[in-house]
Formats: sequence, structure tokens, C-alpha cells
Amino acid sequence: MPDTSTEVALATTTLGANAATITLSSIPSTYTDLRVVLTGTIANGSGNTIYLRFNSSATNTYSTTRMYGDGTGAYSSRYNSGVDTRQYVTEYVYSVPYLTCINVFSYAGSTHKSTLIESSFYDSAGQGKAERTAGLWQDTSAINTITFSLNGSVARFASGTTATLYGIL
Amino acid sequence: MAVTKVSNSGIKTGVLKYDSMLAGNAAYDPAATWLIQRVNGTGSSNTITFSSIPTGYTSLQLRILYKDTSTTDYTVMNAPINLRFNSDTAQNYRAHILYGTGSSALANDSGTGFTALPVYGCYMSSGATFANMMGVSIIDIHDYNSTTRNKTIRNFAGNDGNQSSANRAVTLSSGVWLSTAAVTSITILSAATNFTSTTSIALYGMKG
Repeated sequence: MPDTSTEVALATTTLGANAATITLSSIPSTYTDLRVVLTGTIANGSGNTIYLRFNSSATNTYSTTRMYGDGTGAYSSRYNSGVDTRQYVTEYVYSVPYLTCINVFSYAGSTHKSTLIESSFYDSAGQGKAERTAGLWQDTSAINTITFSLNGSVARFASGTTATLYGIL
Repeated sequence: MAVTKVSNSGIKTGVLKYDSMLAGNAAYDPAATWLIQRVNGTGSSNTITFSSIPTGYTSLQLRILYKDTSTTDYTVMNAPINLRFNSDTAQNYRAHILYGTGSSALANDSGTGFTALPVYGCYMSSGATFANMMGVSIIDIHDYNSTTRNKTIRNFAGNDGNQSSANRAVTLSSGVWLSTAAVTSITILSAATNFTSTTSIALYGMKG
């Protein structure tokens, strides 16, 4: 049995002030998969969606299939790469704590277009949502940077929001 | 200078004494996840097998990056990969599935009669439309060492074939192997034809 973990915390970013974006950069290429855990709240309430971009790419190369339940029904919808210049991650509700966990497979190679699966949750004792998504970035580049952003010009990741990046051998 | 005598007379009183060798040091954080084995597809075989699985973990996890050599496209319920435990070919398997197609969220029961556990949602064909695209799955096999309980499996899978309605879904499913035997081997059977050489399946042992 190996004596070292094959899942390693590579970096943790905790916001000391509200921010429009969170960037995880200089991601090493020495792992097989990545896992990102994002948790916090959103300050300022004009938006409702968290996105990400790989390697700062802003081309129409992202698509998502999502499934979610909100206590009244189960739903599924799509975001297509012909339109989207960023990867849909999840929806949020202003000031309600959320938890998002993203698994990015085979991120370091140059053979595969990157596929991710993601689970997100929030609940405020009256409204809540459990969501799963599958996403595709139509680019075979190795991923070295992940940047989270929000829609709406004034929405901000609130101070205290934490993003942790894990590498999986 | 040679040390010729050691005395405690100069040590200040109140010095803390510890029974633990870790005192003053960072806590030891034992690793929680170990890679047991990774197997890649060959392009000419429809099975990947993990055998002689060690017993020293709490649960097992498979991380699957999958593409089939078949060029036929399938919707999610028509192309499960299959997991067979300990080479058991009896009809001891069943699954329940929740999945989203991009337009509807649906649920299904696999039904009975399976001689291996169907695991849905990670199929990706080798059709030209899906070049370099892969299906993925994370499968947790809980309590795999138990000799008193059936084995419960959780699957979280996704494939996103972009604009096509085939090879596209996000899936969450449960599964059961109706056996109280400890899991010592897992054979994974491809959904349609063979595993491509770009397919990679890793088995991890989890603690805690």
C-alpha cells in the first residue's frame, strides 16, 4: 500500500474582501485529475450564476448539461458552446451559503477535450437547490488556470469565500 | 568542545513535558486516498479487471475516463458500462437512475435480470462528431469488505457531446450487488464494443 495520499491540496484561496473573480493559477501538470471546492456567499445581488473559464479562454468553447431539484420539481437544461464563452457552474441566491465541488478529468494532457462533473448545493430553509452538471471545454490544451466569475456587473464573491484546489494522482 | 557531563541543574522550572512525540510538531494527517491501480484501455478488449483488491480501506472509488470504439451513438439508458464483482454472473445486480438530458430530468429502474451492475451515463462513442470527447464517472463502492451486508454503489457520471442530443447527460445512480461477500475483484465491461486506448480507469482505496 502506498504511504502517501493520491489527493493533494494544492492551494487554498480565502477572500479577505469582496471580489469579482477568483483565480487559481500556475496549476501543476503532475496530476491526473483536479478537484475544486468552492464555498461561500455572494455579496451584492444583481446576478444569479457562477461561471468559470479555463486558461482565461473567452471563446465559444464551453457547454453544460445540468440537472437540478428545488423542492418542487426536477429539471434539466443546457448551455451550448455556440453561445457560451464561459462554463456554467451553478446558480446562487444572494447571501445564501453555497457549496460547489467540481471534478475536472484528464486536465493536463493534450489529447482530450476537458470534461468535468460538478455538484452544487444551497439551502436557506425555504428555498434550496441540489444540482449536478456535466461540462465540456472544447479545447485540448492543458489547464493551468481556473478563473471563477459571476454574471451581473456588481455581483461579488463575498469576503470569506474559499476556493480549494486538489490534485488527484 | 567535547561534552563530558550532562546536568539538568540549569534547566528552568516550568518547562513543559509531553508524553507525545508529536508535541510541538504539526499534527500528523494520514492520507485518505490511495491509488491502488490504473488500467488503460487497449482498443481491442471490452474488459478491464482489478483483481486482488486489498482489504485495508473503508471504501473503494473508481474514476473512469471512457470512450468506446463503437461509432454508434446512444442515449443514456441504452449504453451502461457494467461492473461485475468477484466474477459473479448470477442475476444479483440492480440499479436506480436519475438523469438529466438537457431538456428533461428523468428517473428509471434498471429492472432485474442483470448479470453485472449497469452503470449509466459515461458512454462516449468514437463517432467523428465526438472526437477527443470523453465520458466520465466517479463510482463509490461502500463497505466493500463487509461479509454481512450487500454492497451499495453510488455513481456520478457525465458526458457532454456538445450540440448532439446523443452522448449527452448528467447522471446520478445507485446500485446494489446482492451479495455479502467481500469485494476482491471488479471487472468492468464496456458498453458497446471495446475500450479505446484513450480510456483510463483508476481504482482508489479510501479511508475515513
